[in-house]
Amino acid sequence: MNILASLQPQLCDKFETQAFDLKRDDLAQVIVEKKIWRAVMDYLKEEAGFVTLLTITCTDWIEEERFELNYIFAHETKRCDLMLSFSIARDGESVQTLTDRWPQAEVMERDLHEMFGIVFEGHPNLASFALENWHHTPPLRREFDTLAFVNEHFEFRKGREENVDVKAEAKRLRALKKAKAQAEAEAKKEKGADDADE
Amino acid sequence: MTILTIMGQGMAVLLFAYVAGMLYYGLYRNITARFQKRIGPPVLQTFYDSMKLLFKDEATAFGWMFYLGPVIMATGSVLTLLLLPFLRVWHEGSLSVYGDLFVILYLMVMGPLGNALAVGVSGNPFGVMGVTRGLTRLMGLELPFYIAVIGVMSVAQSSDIWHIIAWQQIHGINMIHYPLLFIAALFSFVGFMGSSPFDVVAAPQEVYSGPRSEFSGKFLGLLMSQNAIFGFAKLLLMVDLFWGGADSIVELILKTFTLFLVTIVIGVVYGRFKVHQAVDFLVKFPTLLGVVGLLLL
Amino acid sequence: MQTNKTINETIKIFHGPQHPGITGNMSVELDLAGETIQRAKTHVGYLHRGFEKLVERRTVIQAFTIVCRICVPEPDINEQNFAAAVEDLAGIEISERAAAIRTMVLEMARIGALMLWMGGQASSVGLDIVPQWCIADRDLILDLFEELTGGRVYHMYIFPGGVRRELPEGFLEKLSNLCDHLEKRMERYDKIFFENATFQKRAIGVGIVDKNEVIPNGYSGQVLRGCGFKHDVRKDTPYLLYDRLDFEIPVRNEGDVYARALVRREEIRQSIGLLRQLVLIIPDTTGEIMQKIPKHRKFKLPKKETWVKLESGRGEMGYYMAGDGSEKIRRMQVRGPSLIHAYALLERLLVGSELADVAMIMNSLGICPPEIER
Repeated sequence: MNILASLQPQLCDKFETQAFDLKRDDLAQVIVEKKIWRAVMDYLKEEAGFVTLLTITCTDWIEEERFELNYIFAHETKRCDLMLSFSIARDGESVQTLTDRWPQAEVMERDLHEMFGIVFEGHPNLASFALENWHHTPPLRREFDTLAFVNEHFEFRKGREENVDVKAEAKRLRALKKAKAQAEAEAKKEKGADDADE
Repeated sequence: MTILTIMGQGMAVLLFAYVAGMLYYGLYRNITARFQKRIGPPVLQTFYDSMKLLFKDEATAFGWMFYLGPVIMATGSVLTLLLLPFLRVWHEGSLSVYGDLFVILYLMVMGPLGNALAVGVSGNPFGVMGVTRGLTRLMGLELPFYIAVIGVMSVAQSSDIWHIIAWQQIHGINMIHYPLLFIAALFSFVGFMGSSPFDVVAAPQEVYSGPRSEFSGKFLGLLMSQNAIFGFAKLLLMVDLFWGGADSIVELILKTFTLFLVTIVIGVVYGRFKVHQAVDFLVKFPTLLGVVGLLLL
Repeated sequence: MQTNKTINETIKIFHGPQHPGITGNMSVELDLAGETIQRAKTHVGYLHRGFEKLVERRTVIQAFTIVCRICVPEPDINEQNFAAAVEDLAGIEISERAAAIRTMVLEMARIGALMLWMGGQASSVGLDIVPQWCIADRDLILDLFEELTGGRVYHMYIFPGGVRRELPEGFLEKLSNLCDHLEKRMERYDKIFFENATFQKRAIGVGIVDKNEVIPNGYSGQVLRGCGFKHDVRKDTPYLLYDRLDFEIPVRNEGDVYARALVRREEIRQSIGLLRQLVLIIPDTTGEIMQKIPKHRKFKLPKKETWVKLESGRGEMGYYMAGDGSEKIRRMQVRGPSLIHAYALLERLLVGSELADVAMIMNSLGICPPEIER
């Protein structure tokens, strides 16, 4: 859409963007460094017409040791969306809050704080959102292994010791079936040989 | 007229009212269900429900006032029923010669009051809210009803219900000769029977079960039973005041069930008003009808 | 949000999480003075199933089976968003026929969800006929879904690459008959519900949304359209077959509960019209039902991110998805309209209203707790 195409030169001239990716007609992504993200966000809100905050997402690139925060804005005509992305460190780096500009940011930042452990400076109430009395690592971080957590903290109910591994059992049954079919074929061959003899 | 005949007649009336009230309630559930494209529970289900509840224990203990509340409500209902003329042929040997319309109207308020006392002790905020709604709604319901009753009393020149019935035997039933008074009373009657649009008291989407919160086991069984008796008593009151009373059981059942059907049908198609909206409405249009009916007497 | 009354004069009530007057499992903590609400706080967390973490350990096809369970009243929007995001990342283009069938499924789900809304809204004002009728009529839609997909509520039919199977014989005729039946039924609903004097008295002038906040705060769906803004994702950024179909966007100006109810009533009519158009278009569409996609463990997503959205029965629903070159999804975030409506909007609207209106306002905003806390 023309809005995004015409935004690209304006934005890249004014700010030092690392990348501007026009994904579709109605979606573009701008990757910046953390230190200028507030300025870019202000520009987008005041002058480019991206007045709605749709969501804040976070992706955990654990192998590159960063969190990538994505702020997704919608244009006031609702014809296109823009993703503003920047990376922060995985341990304790805090981000300034957006609750002064958009009231919906309060819930979204609470959610991210609970799930990833990101601290938002200036947030009025970083209480728990969906979990209750959770004292372990924030669950959506990649190092939190749900299977290991379950095995450590819960006991399996008695009565399931005969449970078998499905793949191994299927293999064993297939081998059995094959052996039986082979034995029958050989028996038939012998019988046929006997008949032919008579 | 000995004590035995009075007691005998009283017990018979009470038993009949209990059975009839429960059956009417069962029929109400079936009729409402048919409107809603369903079949509904068996007609005798209300009996099973209230009897099962009377055999259960309660898990909570709130003090002596909590026990007293349902007893006060039941007292009000039973006394109202016994003081009302039942059948015209039972004039002798019934307790109703001792009652009159003023006493009946006072007794009708005992229900919400007993409920309020009990619920106040339990401290459940939903119960408290339900009871305050009930008492506020009662203020609105009483106004058109009392105007209609004043009209009926002044027509028959007496507050004794037997005289009102006798007057209707001679001059024709009040429903036809004074229709405005009847319609004003009917608006209130819909509210008294707990039908929409005036059934705000126990709105489950707002205050769980309202005044019945915290009641369980035997208390709830007693509440349901006294509700059935009281419902029948209210129907009987309307039939006596406006439809000339009844001569036989069959006529009584027909008349009370017709009135009940009217309240069901109105209740099924309307939502509920909020408390102040209900009181607002009742103080305006039905009261006006009643006053015009009075002036035309 | 507190007014000048001190805490000592208020009582605290939890409206929920088990309550006949809420649309799901969430609770609203209310401070009441009499029957007027001084302060409201939303609490969720009763339906957290951890979908976003579950998806991280599963391959794309394994994740597809759980995605539809995120939103209970209208599961197909989740499948469509998931499929659209995966197709965007992997570069798959679906055929015209698959797009047409997907549009049909989405519109049927929209009518089902709107009928469920109608039942909830009527029950919140005490009209118990309407929910019973709505469940009965919605059952006919669910019967058609069972014939098409094998499941009544959770379909797992809209698959990345197309749809899972061809339409059964005679399906379009049955759909056409259903549209006729629904149109006749909607006239009865008009009389008993939308023109009901008690509903109008309860709903007009209640729950009015401030028009200046609508666009910046991101309200969407019927909240947006009930305040006079003519926006709908199906028209602003069309997806599937919507740019070829002919429909209107209903708009009203008052911004109260009754306006939103009338907007939804009109949307049911538009959806039935869309279904009739699709019944005529689908037989002439061409293409494969399913594109060839790599097998289960070889279906790798490139290292890219995307954001897709669509218009659900309640508002704008979006999915963010990021792949990392392996066969598992790196991150999937679900953003439903109720996240904003239940927090930013509900807490404002409830202050100053009465307890009797809480259920009505919650139903009118179309709050669906499963999609808030997935």
